[in-house]
Amino acid sequence: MRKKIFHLLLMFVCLVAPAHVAASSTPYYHWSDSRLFWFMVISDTHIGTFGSQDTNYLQWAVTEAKQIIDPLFIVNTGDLTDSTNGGIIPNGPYQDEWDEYLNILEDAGIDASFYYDIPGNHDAYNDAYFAYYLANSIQGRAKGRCQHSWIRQFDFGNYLFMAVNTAGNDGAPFSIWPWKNFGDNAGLDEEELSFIESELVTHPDADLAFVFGHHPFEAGYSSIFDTGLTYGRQALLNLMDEYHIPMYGFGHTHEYRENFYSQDLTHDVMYLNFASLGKSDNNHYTVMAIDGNGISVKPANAETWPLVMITAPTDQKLGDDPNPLAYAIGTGRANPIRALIFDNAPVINVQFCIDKNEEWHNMRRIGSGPVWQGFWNAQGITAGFHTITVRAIGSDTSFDEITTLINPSLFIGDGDRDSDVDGSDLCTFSQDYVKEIVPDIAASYGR
Amino acid sequence: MRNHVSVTLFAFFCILGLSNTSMAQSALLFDSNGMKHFHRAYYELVPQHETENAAIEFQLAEQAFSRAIQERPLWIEPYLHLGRCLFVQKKYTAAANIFQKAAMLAPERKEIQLQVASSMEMAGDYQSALKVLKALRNQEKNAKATTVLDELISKMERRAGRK
Repeated sequence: MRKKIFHLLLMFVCLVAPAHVAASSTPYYHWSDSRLFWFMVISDTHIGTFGSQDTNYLQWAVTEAKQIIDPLFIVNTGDLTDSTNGGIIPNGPYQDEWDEYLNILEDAGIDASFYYDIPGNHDAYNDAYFAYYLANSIQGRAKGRCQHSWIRQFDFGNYLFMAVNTAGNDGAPFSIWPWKNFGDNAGLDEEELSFIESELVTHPDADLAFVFGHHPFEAGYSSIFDTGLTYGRQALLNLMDEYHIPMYGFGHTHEYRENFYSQDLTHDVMYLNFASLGKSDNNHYTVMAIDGNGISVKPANAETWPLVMITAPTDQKLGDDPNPLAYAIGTGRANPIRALIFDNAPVINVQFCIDKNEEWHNMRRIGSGPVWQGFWNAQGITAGFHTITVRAIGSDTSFDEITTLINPSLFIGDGDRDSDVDGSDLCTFSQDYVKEIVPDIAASYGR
Repeated sequence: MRNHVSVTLFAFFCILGLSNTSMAQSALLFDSNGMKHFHRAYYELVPQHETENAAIEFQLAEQAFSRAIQERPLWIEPYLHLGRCLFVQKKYTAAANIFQKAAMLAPERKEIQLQVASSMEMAGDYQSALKVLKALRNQEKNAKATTVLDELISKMERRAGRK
């Protein structure tokens, strides 16, 4: 009876309520997968380095991984080529390396609407003009420049992505001497910074903006030999602060690391260091997902399936740090738990458990895609942190685990992000209906 | 008589000076001309796969750099440019020889030794490359540079061992 009344109410408010959904960059707990998308990040492909990992893994990333993960796009954050031609000292550029790089991508049907590659220091040694990058990279060829931006628009929001050129513009050779720009002379000059600012100004409606570069903000991030921005750092941080950019992603160190950067900033920035596809021993690539403006990150090894990634709720931890961009959730009867499962074989079973209690609850696949969803009855769960584990059984068994924060005063249902659950939310819910959530939405109506 | 000798000597040194200045200027011109050909070949034609035209430009660059060296044999720049021009054409042994000459002219410029080692490595002469790197390592005082050199030496030893 209560359900019937709710449905009648739902139909009524849909007729009278405006359908406008206000844009907001705040992450929120959404009842369905309708506000979820994902993309892939690779870095430091180092085509031309000694051995075959470079070419094998790039080929795998743009064929099998691309087919199975079906990302919205792929970002490659630089050091596309090694500039050694198999030697030990970067002394290129070598056209042979660039030919190999481009051939792999073109054979896989990759184009500039899908693949965003920027130069790293290895692509810039001895090439102040970025002539090889401009003539042989996917974006360089298509756009004739070294920095790129792209926007992805959905009915639930607009998302701006920028890939900036942090490699030095002086064409200096590789150097091992600190007084001659040890390693490289990375940075962002006025023209490069102006590009970033103009893109931010042009897209004030973006819900979230992401910046990718090759270098960390500062030298010595992973080891004393890692170089960082030697000019333009503070100006970039000012832009990130002013426009509330939540994330900066980079490669260069060949280590995967999740962190937050707060120095000289008024708000923390998610600081993601991607490992090397062509040289690292693990964490070769990363999948990033945006679900209700919540950012999830999952590094993975090449040629290893299945990949399990929880996208809702968002993880309260990022690496060893608390995640200020995560949201707490209420004690609903049907708190949705969503995960992306990518596998090269049929996925047989996906389940979740809470606080590692070994009570596994089934999740259901949504449509024929990689999204699986289950519902956690969190009534009576104590306030505070709890662990959610998702297990997928397919070609192998894989897990993902996150920490969520329970706050009993919260409720689900604010679909238009205006801090209440009213007619417009019910209207949104009716278009994006999830039967299991009905009692919780009904309970939160009018709050 | 004494005055006459002085005037003659003065005239001789003036002519010598003028001649040296003129040689220095022509060396500069040859080097600059060589750089134009090199840039056209390496940064414009090679990335566009115009290999035949690039080969012509590289040859013109080599000739110009060689003339610059001939005109002013103690000036290091054309050696470095010629070495680089040979290196990018994969004429590694010739490049190593030219870089070695440059290194003799300016032993304080350690980065040239790295180019010597790099050319030797690419030529497949790992043992000679190792010698150069080890000599560089022995002279090096900077901790960061010595660590990188140790790593390069270790990698080069592995390459030499595989050969």
